[in-house]
Amino acid sequence: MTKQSSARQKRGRNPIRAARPSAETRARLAQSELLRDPRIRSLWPQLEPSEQETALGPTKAVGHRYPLTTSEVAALTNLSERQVRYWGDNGLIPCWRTGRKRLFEAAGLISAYGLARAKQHELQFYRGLIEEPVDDVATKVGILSSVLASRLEDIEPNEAKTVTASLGALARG
Amino acid sequence: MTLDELQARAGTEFLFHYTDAVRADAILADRLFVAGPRAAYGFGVYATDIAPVDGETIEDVIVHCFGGDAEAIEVNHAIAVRISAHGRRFAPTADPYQWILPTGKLELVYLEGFYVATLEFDGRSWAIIDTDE
Repeated sequence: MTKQSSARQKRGRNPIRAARPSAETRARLAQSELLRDPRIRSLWPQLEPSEQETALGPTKAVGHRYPLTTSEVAALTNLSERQVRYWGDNGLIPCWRTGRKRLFEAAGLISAYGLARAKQHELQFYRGLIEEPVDDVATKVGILSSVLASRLEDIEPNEAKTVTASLGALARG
Repeated sequence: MTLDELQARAGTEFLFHYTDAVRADAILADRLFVAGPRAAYGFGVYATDIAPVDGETIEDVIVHCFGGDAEAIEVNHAIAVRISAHGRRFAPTADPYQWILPTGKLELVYLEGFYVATLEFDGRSWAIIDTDE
């Protein structure tokens, strides 16, 4: 009898019981929740079919199911390990940690694919948002808001909803 | 082992709980299910009688079970479950595609006796990756 089935047997015959997951499971479930976040959902349709296939089932590419390591995400996306660590530590590539090790679920891989196809000046812009003083970030966000407001005047309501979905998620915190 | 063979062996029809890789892993390892807090028929574990057959299954599930509000990566695992276990059963809802096992206000639950198998869609086909044996 496996450790898991033994543990399950000890829980008794009540078929529905409140769950108290381990810290690792909680961390992974939090990553799972990100798949419903508009910021991740907006990236999914942009992925190439082969990237979607790898994100759906990474086993063929890396030999096991999620989670992926830093080096695996780097190899799959052509980012460097240093970039994956940097963007992971700054929240642009979602990950969770066990000890000093960063681990990546589907939301992380999707984000990494998104960053891998970003142009150099876009990466520079994101890096600025992370590293510059808050006042400078506020200025950038102000300009971005003005540009966005102007752009929203010219597009269809459905497109506007797509564009602002991430902002809604951000506001909900 | 195919899904048909599993059903023949079990002697009962299955329902399918569609979910993502992480939640499927929690079910595989601990029989830990995440109840649907946002769904229209109350708190509970949701399942459907739409069986995983091919790529179109994903679209069917997104449309019929999630009102179009999901991406393939959120539903590419199908957990085959028994309709009833230990005196509790999935009940049909007003929606012909959705069944619910009410969990009260519990969002994270251990379900015993319902689990049969896990199938994964890798972008091309469905494959059984685990059975309750």
